[in-house]
Formats: sequence, C-alpha cells, structure tokens
Amino acid sequence: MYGYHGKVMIVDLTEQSVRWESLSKDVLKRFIGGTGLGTYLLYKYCPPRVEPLSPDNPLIFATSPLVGSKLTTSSKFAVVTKSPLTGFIGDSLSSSFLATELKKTGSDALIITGKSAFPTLLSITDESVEFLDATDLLGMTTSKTEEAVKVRLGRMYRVACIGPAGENLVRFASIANDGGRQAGRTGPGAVMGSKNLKAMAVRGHDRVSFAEPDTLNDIRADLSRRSLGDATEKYRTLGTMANVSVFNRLGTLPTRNFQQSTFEGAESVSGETFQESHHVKNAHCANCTIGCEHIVTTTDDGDKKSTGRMEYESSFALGPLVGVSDANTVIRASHLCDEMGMDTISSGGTVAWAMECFENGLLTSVDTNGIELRFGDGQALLDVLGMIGERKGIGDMLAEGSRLAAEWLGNGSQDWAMQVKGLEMPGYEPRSLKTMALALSVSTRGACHNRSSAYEADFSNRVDRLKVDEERGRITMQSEDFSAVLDSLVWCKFLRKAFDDFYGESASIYEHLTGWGMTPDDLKQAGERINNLKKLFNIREGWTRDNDTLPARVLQEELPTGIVKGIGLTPDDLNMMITGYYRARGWTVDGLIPEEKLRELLLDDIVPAPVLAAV
Amino acid sequence: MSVAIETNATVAVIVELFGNAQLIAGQRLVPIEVPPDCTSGEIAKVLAQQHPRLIGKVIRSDISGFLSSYSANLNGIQFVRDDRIKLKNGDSLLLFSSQAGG
Repeated sequence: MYGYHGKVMIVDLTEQSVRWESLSKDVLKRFIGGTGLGTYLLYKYCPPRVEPLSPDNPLIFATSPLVGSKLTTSSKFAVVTKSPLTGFIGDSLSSSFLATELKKTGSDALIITGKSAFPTLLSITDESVEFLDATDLLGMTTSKTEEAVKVRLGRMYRVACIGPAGENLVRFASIANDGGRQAGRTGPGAVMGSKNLKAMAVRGHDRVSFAEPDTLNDIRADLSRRSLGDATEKYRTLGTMANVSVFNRLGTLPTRNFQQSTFEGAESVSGETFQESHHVKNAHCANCTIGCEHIVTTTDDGDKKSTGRMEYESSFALGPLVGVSDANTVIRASHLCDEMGMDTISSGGTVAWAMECFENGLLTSVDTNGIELRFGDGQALLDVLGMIGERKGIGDMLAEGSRLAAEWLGNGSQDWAMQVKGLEMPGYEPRSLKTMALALSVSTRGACHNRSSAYEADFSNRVDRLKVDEERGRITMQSEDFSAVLDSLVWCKFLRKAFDDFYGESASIYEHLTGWGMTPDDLKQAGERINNLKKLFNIREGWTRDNDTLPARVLQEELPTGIVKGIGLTPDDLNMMITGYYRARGWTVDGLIPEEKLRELLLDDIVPAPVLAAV
Repeated sequence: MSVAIETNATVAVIVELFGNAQLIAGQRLVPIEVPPDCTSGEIAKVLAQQHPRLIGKVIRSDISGFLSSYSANLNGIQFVRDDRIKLKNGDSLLLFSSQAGG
C-alpha cells in the first residue's frame, strides 16, 4: 500500500492495552484521511448517545495520505471526538511535526478510549506503547508540559498535551502540540482530560512509501513556488489579523457580544497595529512554505513579556468581542488561553456573555469574587480567563461554555449566549454576511468558520451580502464539501487559492501518492460523503431541525452602527436559506437524509439499520 | 484630503487602503480624481502614479488593474471587479486583500 499504512492503532487506557485494526482501500478512498477518516472512525467506534466525558468516547487522531510527502502545508492532522461542548461531532485540525511522527508510528489513525486509573503520559513509538505516570505534570501549563515531557523522554519526541483547563474539564479545552499549536474548537482537551491523559509523546520511524516519488518531487517544487505567490500574500504579511480593520469598515466585526458590528477601538487591535508595534517574527509549521504564523509580543511589561501567536479569531474574541482595545491585553489574554489550553473563541465568547450579564445585573460582584466584569476591562478579562482554566469561583460556571452557563443562570440570558449547537460564534457578523449566516446555522460542529468558507461569497460580487436568497444553500453546500476535501487530504486552508484547479490537481496528487485512481468528481463526492456522515452522526446523537438556527439576538435585533446600521436577519429569511440548503443537499425538508442519498454516497453499508429506519 | 467640485471630467474619491497596501503606501486614505464612469484599471493607474511602490504588490505589473488577490469595494457595500464603476464625489473605494479566513 502506498501513501497509507492501512492500519489504525487503538489504545485502551482502562485496560492499558493496544490493538491494531486494518483499514481497507475502500474505506481509505471513500474517506481520504484527516476529518473524513476521523468521522468514519468516530461513527464506527463511538457508542451511540455516549456521554462525551465518559471513558467510552473515543479520542481520534487521524493523519492523511499527504502526511510524510513533504508537500507544502501537508503536515496536518485531525482530532475527532464527540464534543463535550455541543454533544455532536467535534473535529479540530492542528499541524506540524506531531502529524509526521504520528504517521511514522505505523498507523493512519490513533484511537484513544477508556480512562486511565492514574494521570498518564502515553508514550507511543513504532515499537512500543507505554503508560507512564504523569502525576508530576499535573497543573502544568501546555508549554511547561511539553518541555517536561521532552526532558523526560528526549527531544525527538513530539508532544500533544493539555493544560490546566483540560485537566479541569473545561468544555472548550484544547489540545496543544509543537510549541503551542492548538486543536482548539469543540473541546477535545476536555475529552483528553476526562481520560486522565495529560500528555502523549510520539516518536516513529515507519515511513510510508509513495507510488510516484519522482513526480511528487516535481509537484513539491512547483507547489512551493506557487505557495509564495499573490494568493498567500496576506497570510505572509499581516496574517489573518488583517481582517480586523477591514471587517470593522464593512460592519462585520462582532463587538461587545455581538451587540454591534463595528468597534471604535478596532485600529488599536488591528493587524496593521500588531505588525507595526508588536510583531517579532513569522513562523512556520513543519513542511510549510507560507509561514502564516505571526509571533507578537507585549510592549508594556518590561522583561515579563507575553509572546505568542496571534490570529484574527483570537484578536477578535479577546478584543472587540469583549470591548478590549488594548493590544497588549489581547496578547496576554491569547497567551493565557494557549497556556491554560483553552479555545480562544469560546473563551472570549463565554466571557463576553458574562460581561453582558454583569452589565445587566444578572451577575454581580458577589458572583465574580469582586471583579467588575464589564466590557472593555482588560484586567477583568485576564482574571476571569484564569478562573475558567482553574474552574475557580465564577470560572466554574463559565467553564461549561455560554450555552450551559446561560441555561443555569436563566433570566433571559440565554438570548445573549452567542452560540450555535453550543459552540461560540467566530468573528463573522451573520446579519451583514448572509451566506455566512446560513453556514453558521447548519454547520455540523456548531458556529464554525472553518468547515466552510461561505464568507468568501459574501466578500465578493457573487452575492449581495446584505440580502438573502435560496441560492445561498447551494453556495454553502459547495463550500462545505470543498472544505471537507481540504480537511481530509489534509491541505492547509491558506493554500487553497494557490491551486488553479483544486479538485483536478488534488485528485492527481492523490493518485501519485497512493497509486489508486481518483478523479476530480470522486474527490468532490468524497467531500459530500464526509459531510453527510458528519450529519448522520449528529442525527444519531439527537440532532433535530431546531438545532440548525442562530442565536436569538441575531434573529431579533438590527445592527445599530456603521454602514450596516438597520440591517437584521429575520427567522423567516434564515429558514428560507436553510430550506434551500437542505434542498441543495438532497435532504428532506426536515433536514434528514433519504435512503437513496445514502446509497448514492456509498454510505448505506456504514449506517446501521436502526439509524436508517429513524431517517 | 482634497475636496473637488464635481465636473463632467472627474470626481474626487477616496481610496481606502488596508493591510499590506496601507503599510506599503504608508497612508490609509488616498484622495484621487477619476472619471465618474471608469474601470478599476483606470483607478489603479491613478493610484500607481501616487504610490508606485504598490505596483506588483497590489496593482498588476502592467497597471491594468488590481491583483486578483485584492478586492475592491465601493463604499463598504458593493464589491467590484473589472466592470465599470459609477462614481460620484465623496465615494470611497476600499482596497484590501481578498483572502479572508481566521
């Protein structure tokens, strides 16, 4: 077999056992790798209706045929599990050396199940799996954990770990690897923590062979050259932080818990400001020529600098969303989230909800240990983030995420929980980005900006971003399927515009990697298949039509500022777009998947009869 | 910022630069005068005269328009490409990298 090992490693922490199962050519071609393969394995190995923080919920790390090829941006992996934040599929992507080491252990995916009786450091090589005591690592931040593991086992090991947030089962805890990269969204770090698994160290030597290595060498050089062209210029110069000032001007920058879509302090936390005043250097993932990572540092704290990566989503969620306009505070908050091991978007989103509750008297300083939790108060933001990671004081409630916290607090605060399916909203204002509004409402992992790029239509002359129509359904579907292929091969999203013919080139590269036939249409259908299987998983776990919606604020309030003042989104308009989306997907009006669609997508042998009957 | 009286010949508009374009030009707002019915290529030519360093980075090397990796937006509402643009005095043309994603 070329490009794959054709095997999955299954580690049971309860039994301290390891077994291997084979992956057939048929399965690998149908689900590719990354999120696709991870979704297949989740559907197969996750018991229906399992409690996400119970031992039986599998935590899956899936690599892909691209990993090990040294093609630019190819060192990526997916983490897939049942999300403790949403109760539906949780799939996150991360990058760099851990991906290549995982694959060199001789498997295409690693499934971790069960729960260890003691805090565990899992050491995996292609020769052995060891269950080591990690008691000495408890309480350590992510960077200290990684360093301690390398000191203990050796610097050639690659490490995935959780910080205090994962240990404390914060529902939006992340898994960190390779110097602070995060599998952040949907809370995989909490699942890892629930298994008493503090860290995993990986070292392998079992490289796969590729079908046509000489051809791949030529492609590698060409793709690397193209990766340095106009299409990636933004990522290499200001990075995604460039969005802040543009989004503010367009009225799409969510501010103060989505109460506005413009922020008077945007310039202070813009990409231009970070570049001019805080930028240290750019950094790369393994096997990446783009180098999108912008390392920034604080400038107001002498020798005690906070230094780390900064992305648009982090700068939005820990800046405008919480009303903070001090770049140094945003850097400190992002760094704190990374060290605690928490998703920055959900962290900011949940704190923003709490700030609105405080300003409206639903929470008082008695509830917050004396903290005046108001929009714009940077120190309050930092204090509460630390309390969330430690689950101390009000942090214990906020560690549940905005949806559950609002359900507990009640008094109408549910309307201010800016989440979909439990996942906090990213930095794209849906009322002034109508295609994105649809994508956020129907995404299988909740309010997500990465499982489609539907906003691209809104930021173009293809559609009127302030109006709705049924056609947005087809646009969103195509964008989701494209992303599913991207996330399964796995290419970095930032490479996507460097392709002249994405499906054609990717199908050809797949053939050179594996030696297996793959047409562009095969690849397109794989994307559709993967999204349908994600939806089938959610249906099995209790999804209903009511889960595809947007927060009450979005559907009830008009935007009050900027050039989009007066623009809203009615429930009828959203429903019309959702209906168009279901129709484009060939689903029923209730969003369920007909049996003939399952057969068309070659999913009917995977979905068991009881689920089919329910559908 | 210059203020021009609208004539049949030209209108005064502001080009708003974002991101790398702003850093290269060292300027956020660039006042220009162009015909009221023009193309993005004509706007690019006028902008290139004021900020030649944008050529090859933001403006196509042959100065026929903007690089495909850049988006132009009229007054924050209407995205424009190579089609003709109807402009009036005081309009703003936003210029930013078309790559979104965060």
